[in-house]
Amino acid sequence: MIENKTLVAAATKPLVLAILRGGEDYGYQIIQRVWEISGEEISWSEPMLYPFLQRMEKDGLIASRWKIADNKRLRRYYRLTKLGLAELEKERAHWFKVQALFNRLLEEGL
Amino acid sequence: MFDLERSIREWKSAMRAKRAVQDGDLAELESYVRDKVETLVARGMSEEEAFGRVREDFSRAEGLDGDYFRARSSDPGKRPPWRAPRLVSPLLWNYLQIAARKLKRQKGYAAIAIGSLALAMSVAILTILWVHYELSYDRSHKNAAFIYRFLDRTTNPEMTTPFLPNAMYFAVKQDFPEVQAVSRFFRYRDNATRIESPNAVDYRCAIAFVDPAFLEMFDFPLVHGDPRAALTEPRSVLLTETAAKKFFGAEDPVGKTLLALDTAVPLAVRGVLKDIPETSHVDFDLMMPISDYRLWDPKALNSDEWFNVSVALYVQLKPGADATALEDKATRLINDRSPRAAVTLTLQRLRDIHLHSAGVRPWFSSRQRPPISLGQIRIFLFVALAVLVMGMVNYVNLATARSLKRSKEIGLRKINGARRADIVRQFLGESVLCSFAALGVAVLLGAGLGLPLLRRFSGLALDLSLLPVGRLAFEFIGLALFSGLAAGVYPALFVSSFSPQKALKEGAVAPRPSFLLFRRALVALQIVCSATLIMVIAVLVLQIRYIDRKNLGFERDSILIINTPLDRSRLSVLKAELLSHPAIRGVATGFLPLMGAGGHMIQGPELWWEGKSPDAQVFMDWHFVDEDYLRTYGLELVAGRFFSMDLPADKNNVVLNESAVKAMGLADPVGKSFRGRGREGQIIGVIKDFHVGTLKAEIRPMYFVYASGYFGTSVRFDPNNVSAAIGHITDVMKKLEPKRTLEYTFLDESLARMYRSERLSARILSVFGAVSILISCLGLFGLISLLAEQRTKEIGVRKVLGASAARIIGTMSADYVGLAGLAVAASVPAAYVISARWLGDFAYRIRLGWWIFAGSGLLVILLTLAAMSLRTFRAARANPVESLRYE
Repeated sequence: MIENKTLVAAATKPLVLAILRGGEDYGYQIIQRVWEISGEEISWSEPMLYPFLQRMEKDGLIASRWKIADNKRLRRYYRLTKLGLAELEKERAHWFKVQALFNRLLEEGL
Repeated sequence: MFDLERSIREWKSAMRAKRAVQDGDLAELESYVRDKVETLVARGMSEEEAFGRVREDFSRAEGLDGDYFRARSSDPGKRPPWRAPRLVSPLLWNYLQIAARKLKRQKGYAAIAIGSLALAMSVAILTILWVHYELSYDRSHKNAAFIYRFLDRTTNPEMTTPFLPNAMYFAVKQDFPEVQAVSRFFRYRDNATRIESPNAVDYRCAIAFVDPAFLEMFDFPLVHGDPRAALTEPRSVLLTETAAKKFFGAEDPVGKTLLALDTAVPLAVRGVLKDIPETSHVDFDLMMPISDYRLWDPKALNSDEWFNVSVALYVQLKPGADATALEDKATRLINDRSPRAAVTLTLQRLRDIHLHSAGVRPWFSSRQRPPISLGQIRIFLFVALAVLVMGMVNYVNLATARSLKRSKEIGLRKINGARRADIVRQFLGESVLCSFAALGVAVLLGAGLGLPLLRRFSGLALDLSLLPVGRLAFEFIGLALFSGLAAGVYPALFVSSFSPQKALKEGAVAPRPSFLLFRRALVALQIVCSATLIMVIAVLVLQIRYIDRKNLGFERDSILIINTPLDRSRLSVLKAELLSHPAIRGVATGFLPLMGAGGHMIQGPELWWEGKSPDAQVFMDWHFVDEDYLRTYGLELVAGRFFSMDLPADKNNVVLNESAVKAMGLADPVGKSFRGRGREGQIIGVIKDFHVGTLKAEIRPMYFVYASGYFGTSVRFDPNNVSAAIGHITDVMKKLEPKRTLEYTFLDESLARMYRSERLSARILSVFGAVSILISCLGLFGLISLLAEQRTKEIGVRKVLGASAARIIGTMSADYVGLAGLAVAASVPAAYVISARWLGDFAYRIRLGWWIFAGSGLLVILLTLAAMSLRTFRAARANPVESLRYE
C-alpha cells in the first residue's frame, strides 16, 4: 500500500490518462481498474476522483458524454483527447526519466 | 429495516446543500454510489454495511465541494466564495514574532515611530474628548429638542440679546396654542444680594427667578423637596447642593429659612437641586418664583411692560409645531404692542445656544464662560488632524527606511509562495499593532499629563462622567485603526513591491528615486505644518501681549473694584474714610470700563443736540459717573471741564468722548445744548477716547451723565503699597458694614479675563505646536540616524581620505537643511492668511511684520538643524577604523 499521499496525487493524472488510452470509461470503472491493476496498492479517497476528472476535462485532456447503461443507470463516460494523448506521452517520458535516474542512483550506490 | 433507496435520497439531499456540486455531478456520484454498493454487496456485505462504507468515504472527502469549485475555476488557488476569508493568516504567529523581533532589535526607531504616533494620538484623543464636552452642552434635558429661547435681533444693529419685555410672556402664554410651556428666566445681578442663614452670610449668590413651568421644561434633578411648591408659593426658594451645604452644612435644609435683603425677607427652603453641570448655559445657586422679584424691585416686571427688556423667555413647543411660523407671529405681536423701534424675534434651539451664540449678549454674569464657536472647534480639530498626520509621517518614513533592511525577509517569503497581498497584510498588521501600542501610550499620556493640563488651561472642570463612554471607546479604537492603516499603507505597498530576485541577490533593494522624492515631500509637509503652527502661535502670543500692554487711555494697573455698599447714603463717608490713608489715591463710583459697551444705547429721537442735522443717525452709549471719576481713572480732558459736585446744573449736563464729537459732527462742542433720555443740559467737556470692553470693538461714541453710587466703586491705590491699601479698605468696610466680607477685584485682572478664549486658544495651540515641532524633530532625527547608519562606510572612507567632521556634517544634512528652508518659506503664506483672519477680529491689533514670520521660521530651521546634527555629529566624529574594520 502506498501511503505517500503526495505521490498518489501526483500519479493520479498519468494513471487516469493511461487507463483511458484503452477506450471510454466511467468514473467507477477507472477506480476499479486502478485498484485491480495496482494489486490494491493504490487507494484513492474515491469520491475525490470526480472533481479531478472535471478539472482534466476543463484543461482539455479528456472529454465526456452521458450514456444510459443497461441497468438504467446514468453514467458519464470519459475518453482521451488528442491533447490528453500528448500529455500522456509527456508524463510517461517524465516518469521514465525519474525512474531511470532512480535506478542509476541505486545501482551506483551498490 | 434498511431501505437503500431512502438512504440514497437522504444522501442526495445532503449533497445538494454543497454549493459547487451541480446536478450532473450528483448524477455521476449517484451512479458511483450504486455501483460501489453493488460491488460490496457482491462481496458479501449487507446493503446497510455497504452503504455505510460509501458514506464514510464521502465524509472523509470533506473538501469535495471545494475541489469541484477549483476544478471549474480558472484560478485554482482561489478561495470559494462561500468560505469565510481567512482574516487571521496561519502565519500570524510568525508575523507577530518577526514584528516583535524587529522592534526589539531596533529599539530606538521603534521608540521614535511609536512615540511620535503616541504623541500625535494623545493630542487627537484630547481634542476628541474636548469636542464631545463642548457638544454635550444642554443636551441632558429630556425635552431639549423642543425647547427654544427667543432672541431679539434688531433693537440694536450690532447686538442680539435674549432679553424681551416682560409682557411678552403673558402674550405668548395666552395667544400661542402651539406652545406647550413657557417660562421666564431672570437672573439677578450676581454678588449684589445678601443672603443669610444661621450658619453663613453670603453675597455671591446667583439667583434665578423663573416661572413654575421652568422645572417641567428643563430637567434639573431634585435631590429632595417639592419643586412645585417652591415655584408656586411666594417667598420660597430652591438651593443647589453646594449652596445648601454652604448655608446649612450637613443638615437637611428643607423647611428651614433663609433671610434675604438685609434680613428683611424670610425665604422658605422647599428643596435641593443637584448642582448645575458645567455643561449648562443657565447656572445659578438659588432659584425662586419670578413673582418674588417684586421683593427686590416693587416696580419691576409689570404685566403690561412692553418697553424695557428684562427677561429671557424659554418656550417648549408642542411636537410638530412650526418654529418659523411662531417666529413670525411673535415678531408681529411685539411690533404691534411695543413702542420701541421695529424688532425681529427669532427662536434659538436650546441645543444651539452654546455653540451658535456668537454676537449674542451673554448674561451679566462673572461666572459664565464665553461662548465658543463651531469655527473655533473646527480649527482645533483641523490642527489635531494635522498633528496626527505628522505623527503618521514619522511612522511612514521610519518604516519604509527600515524596510530596506528587510528585503531579504520579503524575498524569502515571496519565494515560499507569499503573494503580494500577504506581504501587504503582514505589514499593515504590523503598523496597526504599533498604532494600538501607541494608543495605549497616548491614553496614559493624555490621562496623566494632557487632561490636567487642559483643565488648567481651559479653567473647565471637564467632568467626563457625562460623556458617552461606549462612543468614545469606539472612536479611540477607530482612531488607532485609522492611523495604523493610513500609516501602514505606503510602507506595505513599498515593501511588497520588492522583486525577490533582486532582494535576495543584492541583499538590499536600492530605493528608487521616486521613493526618495516622496520621503522628502513627507518631511517637507511636516515642516510646513509645524512652521505654520509656530508662526500663527507667535502672532497670537504677540497680540495677547499687545492687549496686555496697550495704553487703554486710563490707569488700569492700580485700580481695585469693590462692590458699592448697599446703602448709598453712606457713600460720602466711605469715600472720606478710604481717602484718609496715603495708599489710597482716589475713589469714584460709576461705569466700569470692563463692562463693555452696548448696555445703554440710544439713538434717534431720544437723542438730540444743538445743530443736529435731521438725517443724522448716531448710536451712543451713555454711562453714569461721579465727580471723581476723571481723576481716579486718570482720563485726559481735551476740552471744557468735568462734573463738579458744587454745580447743581451738572445733574443734567453731559461730558462726551472724542468719538462722540466726531460722530455728531461738532466742531466746537463745549457749551452746546444736549438732550438724551429726557435730560436736557449742556455739553460741558470732552474727554480723550479710552477703551472700554474688548479691543475687538472700535471705541464707540459715548456720553457721560453725572450720578453717584452706581455700579462698582473704583479705588485707585498706590502700586508700591498694595497690601497697605487693601488692609485699609478692609478695615473701612468692616467698620461700615461689619457683617460683610470685602470682595474686590483688580481691574487689570478682570480686563485680562475678557480674552480668556484667545488665551485659551493660544495656550492650547502652543501645546499643539510644541508637540508638532517635537514630532518633526524626532522624525528627522530618526531619518538622519538611519541614513547615517546606511552611510557609515561612506563616511569612514571620506574621513580616511581627509574630510573634516564639519564637512561630513555638511554633506549629510545639506539636503534636509535646504528642504527645511524651502518648507519654512512655503508655510509663510498660509500662516499669513490664518493670522490675518484671526487678527481681523480685533479692531486694535499688531502689525503683521515680516520679522514675525522670519523669526519663527528661523526658530523652526534651527530646531530641525539641532535635531539633525545630534546624530550627524556622532557619525562624523566616529573613528573610521571602526566603520571600515569589517570590510
